Amino acid sequence: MDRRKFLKSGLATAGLIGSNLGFATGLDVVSNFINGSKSVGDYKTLVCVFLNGGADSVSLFVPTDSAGYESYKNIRQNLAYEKDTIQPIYSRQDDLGEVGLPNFVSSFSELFESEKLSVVSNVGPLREPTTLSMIQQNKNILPPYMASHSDHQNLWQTGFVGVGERSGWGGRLIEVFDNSARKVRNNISLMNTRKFVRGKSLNPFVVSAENIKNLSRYVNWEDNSNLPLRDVFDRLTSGNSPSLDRSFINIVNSTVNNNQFLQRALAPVSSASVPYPTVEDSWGNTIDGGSIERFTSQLKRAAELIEVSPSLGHHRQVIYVHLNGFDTHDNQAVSFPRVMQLLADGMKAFQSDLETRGVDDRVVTFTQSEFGRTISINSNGTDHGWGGHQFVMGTPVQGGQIIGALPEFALDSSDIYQSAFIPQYSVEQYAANLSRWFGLSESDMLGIFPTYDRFDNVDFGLFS
Amino acid sequence: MSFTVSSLKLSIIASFFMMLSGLASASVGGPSSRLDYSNPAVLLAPTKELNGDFGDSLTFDIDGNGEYDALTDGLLLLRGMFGLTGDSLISGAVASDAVYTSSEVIVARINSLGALLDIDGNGQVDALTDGLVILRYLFGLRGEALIAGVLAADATVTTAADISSKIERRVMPNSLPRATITLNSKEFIAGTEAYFSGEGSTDEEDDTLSYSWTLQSPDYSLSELDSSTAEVVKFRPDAIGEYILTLTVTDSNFGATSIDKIFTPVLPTPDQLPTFVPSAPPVGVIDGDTDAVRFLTQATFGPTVDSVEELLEKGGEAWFNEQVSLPFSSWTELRRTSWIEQVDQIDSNENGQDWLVELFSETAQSSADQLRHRVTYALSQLLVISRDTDLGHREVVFTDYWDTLGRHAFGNFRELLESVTFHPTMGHYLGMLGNIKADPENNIRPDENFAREVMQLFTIGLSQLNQDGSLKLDANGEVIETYDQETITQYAAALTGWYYDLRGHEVHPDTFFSSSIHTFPLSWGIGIKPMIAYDEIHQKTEKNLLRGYFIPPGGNAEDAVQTVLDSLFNHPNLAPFFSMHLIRQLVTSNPTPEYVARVSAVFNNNGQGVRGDIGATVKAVLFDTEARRPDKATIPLYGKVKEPLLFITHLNRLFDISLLTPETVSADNPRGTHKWMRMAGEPSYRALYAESVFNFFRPDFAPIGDIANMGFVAPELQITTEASIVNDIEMFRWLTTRDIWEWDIENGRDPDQFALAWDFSELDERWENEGYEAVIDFLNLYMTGNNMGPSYKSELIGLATDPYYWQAFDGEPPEWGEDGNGSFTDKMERHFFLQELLYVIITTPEFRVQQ
Repeated sequence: MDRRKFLKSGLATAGLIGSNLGFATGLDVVSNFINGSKSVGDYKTLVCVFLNGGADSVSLFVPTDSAGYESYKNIRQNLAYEKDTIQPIYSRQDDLGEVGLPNFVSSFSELFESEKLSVVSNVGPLREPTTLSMIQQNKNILPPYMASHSDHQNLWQTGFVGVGERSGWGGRLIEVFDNSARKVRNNISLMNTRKFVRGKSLNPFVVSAENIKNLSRYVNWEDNSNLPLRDVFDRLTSGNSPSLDRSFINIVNSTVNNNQFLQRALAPVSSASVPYPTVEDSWGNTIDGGSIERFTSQLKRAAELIEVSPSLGHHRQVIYVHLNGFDTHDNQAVSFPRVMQLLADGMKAFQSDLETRGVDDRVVTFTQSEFGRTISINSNGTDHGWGGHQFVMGTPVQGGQIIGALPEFALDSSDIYQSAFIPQYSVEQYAANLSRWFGLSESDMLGIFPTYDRFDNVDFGLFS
Repeated sequence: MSFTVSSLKLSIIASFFMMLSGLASASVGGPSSRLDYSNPAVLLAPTKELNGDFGDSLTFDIDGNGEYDALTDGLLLLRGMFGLTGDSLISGAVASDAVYTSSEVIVARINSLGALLDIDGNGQVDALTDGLVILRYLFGLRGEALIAGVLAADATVTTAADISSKIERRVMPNSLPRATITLNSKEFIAGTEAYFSGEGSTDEEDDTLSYSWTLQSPDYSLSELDSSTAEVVKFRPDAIGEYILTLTVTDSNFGATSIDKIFTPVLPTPDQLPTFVPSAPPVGVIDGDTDAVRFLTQATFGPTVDSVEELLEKGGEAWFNEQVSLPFSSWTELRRTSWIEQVDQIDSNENGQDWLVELFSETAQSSADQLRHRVTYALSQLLVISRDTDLGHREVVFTDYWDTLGRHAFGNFRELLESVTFHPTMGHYLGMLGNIKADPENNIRPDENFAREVMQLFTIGLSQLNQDGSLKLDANGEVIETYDQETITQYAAALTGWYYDLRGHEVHPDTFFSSSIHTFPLSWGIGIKPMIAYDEIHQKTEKNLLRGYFIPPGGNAEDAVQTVLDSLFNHPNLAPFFSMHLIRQLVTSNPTPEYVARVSAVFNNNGQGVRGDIGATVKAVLFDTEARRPDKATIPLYGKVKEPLLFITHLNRLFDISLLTPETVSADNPRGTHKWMRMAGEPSYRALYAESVFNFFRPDFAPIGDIANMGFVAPELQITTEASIVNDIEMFRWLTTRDIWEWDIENGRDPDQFALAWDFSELDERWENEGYEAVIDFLNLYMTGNNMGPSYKSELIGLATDPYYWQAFDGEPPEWGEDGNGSFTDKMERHFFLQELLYVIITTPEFRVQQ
């Protein structure tokens, strides 16, 4: 006899019914969150795809004229992509020149051609607009802890060079809006907690990429009603607790409340009907199924969350997903193309998924990565760089553009410091453009990006 | 040697000169009238070599008859300067007692004089000026008669007296100068410029001396003199070897002397650490059973009734010493002697990541050397390596890594660091394996991965620290970074030159130095050997490391690594960096600076003058007052959230969670029992499975709210999220108890091969003999270290009268008997209740936050 039934039968015998609160809303128990004042009627979601490890995006845009290719090959040696694998970029820009993408990102080429993908060139953390001679005169102009993974992941997610800042720009952005309609938090990180979606007062809502589960002794699986033990828990944790204890309790409550609600909301949603990359794909044997699954499951969950944003009360949503494997110091000739192909194929599948669900007009997906990689190589890989190219995808995006000049791929170029590209755009300029689409007004810009006025308020032209 | 004036009369002399003038006008202009001195800036120095076997005096006595003679020597010189050779040179101009008579020899002797013939000092040797003035002198003309109309327009020697004395000097024997080289700097140290002076050189004639230096450096040196002609020169020695400095001093008569001197530099002395006060760790004292439980929560994988009893019996000091001296129960050995090996024998495809879970869980559950493995687990979160990479399926390379850490867990940090550096799994993970020297022509640099992480994550961190763990600030109140990108490139170069030890094995040239996983030499029966050095891929340039540690060019890879490790081991940051890590792993997330300082002091000097004694440092962490008797009134935020693996092992140990079925390994069931899989927790936080080298969580993580506002941290909360917390708790729902399980089988259920059970015998005994409250007391002590507050306890005790749980307290078996289930006992009902009770306790901070 199933012991759950046993206990329930005991309950029935006693003639008592466990308390049924229906399902409570999943709001944070920490109720001092800032609820912004900006009220909107439409729905928009920003999806950040973070490329962990520092992606070698700078190597993707290969000159296709012979002198340019020779010079590129001279630098990249055995890591240069073979000329016959380069596909010229279609672009709506006339002045782009001869440049192409390697075939392992053919999904990006296709998205580019169908004008759903654009590239923002050479973005990275900057204290202020920076040139090589400025650096040579004063090293202190460099952002702190150059080339350190954790610290530059931090700077990108913070959105400006503010080392002491504890929030991420995705979280701060959400806090601008009037979120009073939301049933669960709308600053979502898939699988792990990440600073990007952390607000000034809002902890990230970490959502699993697998089945949304709950604490089965607290919440009835079938009807999501509270079980008696839940009340015991509440009574045990109701007193004044020291901070460590209280933080832990908050997470338990957040889990129970939010997961309960989320599971109900997601139940009617169908799973993805478009094919996502799997290990059976042609390159699949060189990358393990677990890594593929980890990435695609996040994208699929994100698509579902976007589809149910109306029932979640999420007029605005920020979702963070990640892909590991870009720290290609070693063996890059093998490992970079395959992780890049997973990224491109995955993002293309995600776009199709959104279109099938009919929600593509309100989603913009964009990449971030702690740095690009070095121009020169270390015999079989690359090391930590600085500026990197970022991809922005979505139906609202004016695709087929490369925003900003592609830096010259030459070792003695004045765009380069210690073999890394000096960023042309700061993270906040990049983030500001995305935020503007999201609904951030000019007057709120400095509140979210406090050092924004050091930079040109440039409109990238990414959105109509 | 004297000279004589010709006895010819002046009139003859005069007509002689007129003839010569005719000669001059006939052959004016053209370079053929001059010796070959076309570039006044490069005056040929007189060379004795050109003199051949003429002896070493350069002289105007061209025909060698011992006399200076106008009509022979003077005429020969003049004709020679006009470029005449052969008969037209010597006819009628060679003395009868001449030693040298052939025109070739005469030409050679004239040529060998070189710039000595530039009498008027205009930088050129010219027949019509220099030649004529020499002839006049040899004829005996002095004063105005000597120089009238014969000096060049750009002459620098312009008076008759000066001209006379200059010629005279040429015909007088010249004493050679004395050359001396003096080292002007205090010492000659590799990497530091040194000054060398020729000032001590002397000349008897007090001539103005000129200097010419050359330097011959040892192999691989790039040292260069800043000047080859200054009186004082400098260069920076780099390689350790002989530097041969040669100084040639030349006087104004071109008399030259050379001297060689050999200098061998010493290595520089790096920055020294201050003398640290000897600080033995405190004596181990455990005070009562609450303290015993707290201690075992910090120092082992969880307390048990027996282990608490044992600790109280032995006392802290004896317990600790015994733990240190127990033989290390390595994973390699456990693997070999356990069911794992049996399964491996049957089907080696089962060799995979799962075994690491089994090894970890089995060790945590029942190894005697608990403290060593607990410390190893803490070390594995500092010197991080992860299975979450290509190598993930080759579990033995990770087993060996764990064992490497374990062997050093009570040893010295310097040796631990070295073993980790040479371990091929780490080499593969962070790129030191097959890290090849720079190839500047092809713009290839060394791999920087290990160089960066060994500093940032393993030893010194990003910012300079005080010994109490606080950040050092500069005059502007800013944090001081410990290194910059330039330093990384130096370390990266120093760490080139290592690869698998393939001695005695055939090697494929195509894959040699490749770091692809397929080249990891496992299947070659080699086992896991430390990497060895391959000189051909080691970079031979000099490297400047932190704090004055210097690697001279031309060195080998072994020496370079030792210097790298010394520079990090002897860095003042290491003690606070390592101490804070151990404290956060074992005791509390936010130690007071005083606590950190006390532990750092032991690391710096364990009381016997030894730096880096890990065992002593661990003892200091565990027996410090802040670990044993924390004064929570004064410490703002004490304790740490237990990371999932630690609360799981705590429960596994306390309730002796074990398999109900015997370990059924057979040919039909090669998977045997993955005994611990259900209690292993999430892959993302399993031992040696971090997502990145930054471990499961960052040391500075704090959730929003009080903790962050107060500037404190709670690292383990980074992996305690809505997505993770459910699985951590729900896994305990898989458990049953033996009596319930047997009842299940009796009543027609198939035995679950992987059924795991709680052992509630301690609780049963107390419940039966002392009542339910004793059960709560037991759980309070052994699960929370008596951390339950009064209202918490009374809430739990109150469940005895909660209508929902009445069945557990009625002392009667259940009434439902229609399925013939009369054998379901009251005890089993209590066991259901205990599982509920435990479920709620393990979701509360009283259990989940270690105090």
